Amino acid sequence: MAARRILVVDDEDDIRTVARVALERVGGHTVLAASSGAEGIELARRERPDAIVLDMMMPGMDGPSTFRALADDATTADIPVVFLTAKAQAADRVLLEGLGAAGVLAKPFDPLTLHTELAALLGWE
Amino acid sequence: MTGDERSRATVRSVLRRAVLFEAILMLTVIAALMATLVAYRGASDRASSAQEDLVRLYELRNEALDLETGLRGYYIVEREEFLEPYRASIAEVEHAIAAVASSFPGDRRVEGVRRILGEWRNEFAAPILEDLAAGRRDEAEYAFASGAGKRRIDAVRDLTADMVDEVRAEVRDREEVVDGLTVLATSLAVLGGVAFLVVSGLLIRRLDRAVSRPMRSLAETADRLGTGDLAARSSASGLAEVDVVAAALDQMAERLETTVEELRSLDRMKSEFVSVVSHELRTPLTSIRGSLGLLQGGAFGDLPRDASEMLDIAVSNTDRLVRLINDILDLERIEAGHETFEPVLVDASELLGQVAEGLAGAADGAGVSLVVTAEGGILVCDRDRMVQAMTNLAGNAIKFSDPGGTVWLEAAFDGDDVVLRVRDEGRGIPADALPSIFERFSQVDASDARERGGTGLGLAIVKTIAERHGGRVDVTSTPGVGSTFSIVLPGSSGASRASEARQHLGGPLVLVVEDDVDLRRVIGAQLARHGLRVVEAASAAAAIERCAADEPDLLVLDVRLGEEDGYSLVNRLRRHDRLRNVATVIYTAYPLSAADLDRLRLGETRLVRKEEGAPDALEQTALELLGR
Repeated sequence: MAARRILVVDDEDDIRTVARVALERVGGHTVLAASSGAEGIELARRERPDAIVLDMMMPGMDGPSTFRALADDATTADIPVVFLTAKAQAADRVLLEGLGAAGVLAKPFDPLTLHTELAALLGWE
Repeated sequence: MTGDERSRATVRSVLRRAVLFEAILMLTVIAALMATLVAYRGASDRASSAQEDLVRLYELRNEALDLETGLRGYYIVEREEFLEPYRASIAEVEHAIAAVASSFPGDRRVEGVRRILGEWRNEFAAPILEDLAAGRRDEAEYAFASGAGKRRIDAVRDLTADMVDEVRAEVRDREEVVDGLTVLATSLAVLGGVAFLVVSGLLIRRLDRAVSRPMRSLAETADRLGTGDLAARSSASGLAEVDVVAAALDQMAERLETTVEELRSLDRMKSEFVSVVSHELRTPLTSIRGSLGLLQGGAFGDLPRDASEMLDIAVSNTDRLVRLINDILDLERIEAGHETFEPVLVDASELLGQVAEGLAGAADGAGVSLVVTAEGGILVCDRDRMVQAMTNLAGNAIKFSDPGGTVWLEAAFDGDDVVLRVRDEGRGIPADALPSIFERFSQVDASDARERGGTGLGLAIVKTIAERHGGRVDVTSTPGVGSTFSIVLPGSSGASRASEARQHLGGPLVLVVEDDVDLRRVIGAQLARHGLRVVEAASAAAAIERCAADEPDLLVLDVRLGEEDGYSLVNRLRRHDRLRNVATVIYTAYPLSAADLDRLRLGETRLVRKEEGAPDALEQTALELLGR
C-alpha cells in the first residue's frame, strides 16, 4: 500500500495523537494534524494532502462547515474527505454523504483497522 | 337577554323563572274565573232580592187598592162588618210601606207614597166615614164622585209601577253582565289552556338552550380532552353550574397541558443530556480504546505476557463500555420516538440473511452454526431496526449456545401476521427469570454480563423495536433444551400497510392477482427483489379495489380465482380507459386455447404456465414486459 499524506482535523489532542499513531505506525502513512476547522482549511490549502479525516463535532467551525469551506475552495475541492463521527450522529450519515463526503467513520475507531477502513472508503489500492 | 344576565343564570334560576311564569299565567286565568264567579253570584243575589222588592211593591199596590175597594164596599152596603177589610188594609199598608222603604232606603218616592196615602186617609177616607156616620150620604157620594180618592190611589200605583220598572231594568242589566262574564270566563279558560301549552313548549326549548346545550357542549369538551386533545376548552355556556364544571375542566386541561409540556421539555432535556453525555463519554473512550488498541496490536513492539493480558482486559472492557453507551443511546432514541421509523417492503429471507451475515464471525468464534429458514414473503418494517432487533436476539442465542450447537433464524407467515423467530439449543432460561428478561440491565445471573459481554440492554431494545412496529416479542424456553424468541408483527404493520410502504420505494407497480396465499407471496418477494413495487390481491374484487387506488404498470393474473374468475376481471378492467392497455402476465396451471388467451388480453399479454419451472419463468417474463 502506497504511503499517503493524510490530514486529521479533530479538536481532541488525544484523538489526533491516536489517529496519527494508527495511520503512521500501523498504516504507514504520513499524518498532518489540525486542531480546528480553520487550521485544517489552512493546512489543506498549503499542503494539499491526499485525504482529510474530519471530526464532525468541533467548537467554532464544525465538521460540515469546514467541509463546505473546503469544497468551495478550488485548491481543496478535489481532496476526498472522510467524516469521523460519534455513533450519536450516525443518523446523519446520509446527510454527510449527501454533502459529498467520501465516507463516514464511527468513533470510537479501531486503530488497527483504521487505515484499511479509510483505504476501502477512498478506493486506495 | 344580555350577556350579564346569562352569566348569572343557574339551573335553579332558569327553572324558577319558568315555574314563576307558568304560575303567573295560571293565577291570571284562575283570578279571571273567580271574578266571573263572584260577579255571577252578586248578580244572582241581586236577582233574588229584586224579586223580593217586586213582591213588596206589588203588596203595597194591592194594599192601596184594597183601601179604596174596602171604603167603596162600606159606602155601598153601609154595614159595619164591611168596614173590616178597610181597617185591616189601613194596618197592613203601613207594613207594606215600611217593607218597601227598607228595600229602597232614602227613596223619595216611598215618602211620596206614604204622604199620598196619608192624605187619602185623612182628607178623603176620614171625611167620607164621618159623613156616612152622620147620615150625610150625599156628601159622601159627592166626595167619591169628585175622583179625589181615585186620583191619589192612581198616583200611588204610578209611583210603584215606576219603581217596578226600575227594579226590572236593574235585573236585566245584571243578567247582561253575567252573560258577558260567562263568555269572558270561557274564553279565558280556553285561551289560558292554549297559552299554557305554548308557553310550556317555549320553556322546554328555553330550558334546552339554557341547560341541555351547555351540558352537551361540556360533554363534547370532556370527550375531546379524553381523546387526548389537550387544547380543547369549554366555551362560556351562560349557565352557572355548567360554567363551574367547565372552569374546573378547563383548569384541569390547562394543568394537563402544562404538565405534558413540562414532561416534553424534561424529555427533550433528557434526550439532549443522554446525547451530550454519550458524546462526552465517547470522546475520551476513543482515545483510550485507540491507545490500548495500538499497544495491543504491537505498534510499539511486543509486550511481556502479563502486560499483554492486562491490556486484553482493558480493551475488552473498553469495548463493553462503548457497547453500553451505544445501547443506552439507541434505547433512548427508539423509546423517545425521536427517530421516525421508515417502513419499507423487505423480503424476509433477505433480512434474515443479512442478520446471519453480520453474525457469521461471532458464530464461527463460538463454534455455533447459523441456519436461516425463511418462508418466501414480504414484510413491512424499518429495515435497519429490524436487522438490529434480530441481530440482538441471534447474538444472544449464539452467546448462550454451547460449541457445536445450532441457532435457527426463521420467518413464518401466519395469516396476516409475520413472525420472525430465533431458536437455539442453548442452556435456556429458568421460568422465574422469564418475565423480567426484557427489562433493562436484567441478566439471568450476575456473572452473565462479564462472561458474555452483554450490556443488559439488548432485549429491552428488541422489545422497544417490536412495539414501535405495533408488534410484540414472545419467548418460550426450557432450561437445558433451548429458547425461542419470536417477534410478532401483526397484519396492520404487514400487508395492509404495504401501500404506505410503497411511497418509500420507487419502481413500477405490479399487481399480483392470485388466490393462493403462498404463491402470491413468493411471486411478490421475487418481483420486489428487482425493485418493483408489488401489491397483492386475493380476489377479483380486491384487484379492482387495488386498481382504483393505484394503477398498476403490470398485472400478474391467475385465471382461477374462486368466485369471480380472471375472464370476468379482465372484462371489468377493459371498461377502464387506462387499464385496458395494461401489460399482463397470465399465470395459470390450466391449458388455455388461443381464443381463451384473447379473452384475457389487455395490453401486451403473455402466458406463463405454472408448471414451467415457474415462478422463475414468471419473474423473467414480468421483467421483460416492464422493459427491464
